[in-house]
Amino acid sequence: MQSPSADSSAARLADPEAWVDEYGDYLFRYALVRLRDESLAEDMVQETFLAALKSDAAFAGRSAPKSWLVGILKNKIVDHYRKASRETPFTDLEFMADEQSDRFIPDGLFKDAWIHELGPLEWSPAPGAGLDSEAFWKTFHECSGKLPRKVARVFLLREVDDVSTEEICALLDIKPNHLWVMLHRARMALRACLEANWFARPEGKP
Amino acid sequence: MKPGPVKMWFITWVWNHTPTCKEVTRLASQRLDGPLPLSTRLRVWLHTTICAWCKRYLEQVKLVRDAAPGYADKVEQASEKSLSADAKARMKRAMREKDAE
Repeated sequence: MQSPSADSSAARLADPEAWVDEYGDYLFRYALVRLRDESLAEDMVQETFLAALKSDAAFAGRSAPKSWLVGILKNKIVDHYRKASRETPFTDLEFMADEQSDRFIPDGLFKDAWIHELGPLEWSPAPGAGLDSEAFWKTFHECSGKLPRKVARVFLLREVDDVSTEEICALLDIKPNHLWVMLHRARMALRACLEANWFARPEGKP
Repeated sequence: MKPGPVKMWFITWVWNHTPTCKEVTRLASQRLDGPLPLSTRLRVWLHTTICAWCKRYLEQVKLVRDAAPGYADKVEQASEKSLSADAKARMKRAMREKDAE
């Protein structure tokens, strides 16, 4: 005889509508950080469930519906990116102009050296501490949320989803040079934001 | 304390023969997307012997890169957004209709 908990989880998986309660919010959040549009994110989640229903047979026997569903959603988001890049040119010009230039010495012998007080701080107590905590990810979420939409899209594809630079260029129809600049600015901005809000907070981490 | 003349000479020499800090930040990003030529790697390393700020920068962007993949799963904790009850009901209805086809 099966234990009651195994029974009920089997019943849950057998009922696709229960996916909505079980995984809906996770998929919605996943889509929302990548699309920054609630109604679009909702549509994508719904399409994911419908596509999942269609290939329900393909799912039979798998034990991790969450990663299966997120895989479908990921493809839907990528399709959306591809379509959108055909409609509007991608490069985020406003962000291109900002390289935190005010942190560097503007002229003289040491032009383009860090202004010491504005250079990267020591991250304390130890870099890497507490990166599995909920508070760190809230900070990460807020910092990446401050990146311009298109820059965030590039950053998430490259750093979070580990898509190659070649694939990103093809997907979003941008030149390698623009991609490098956007990634550089994104990494620079995110580093500074995490430093200010997490790694170097004088009062210490929660 | 001001560095002595020998140290100052060394710092200036290295500064003149290596990328600027601003260039190092660009290279710090580029090396996350593919290996840099050996000569560039050496010049970046030489630069870090006189520049604690760039040394930190290189380590920190790498640390952020290594942490980032975790965000795919942790977004569940990090975000407070949820589907509305309406949206959930709509999705279930759509699934029922699809199933009936």
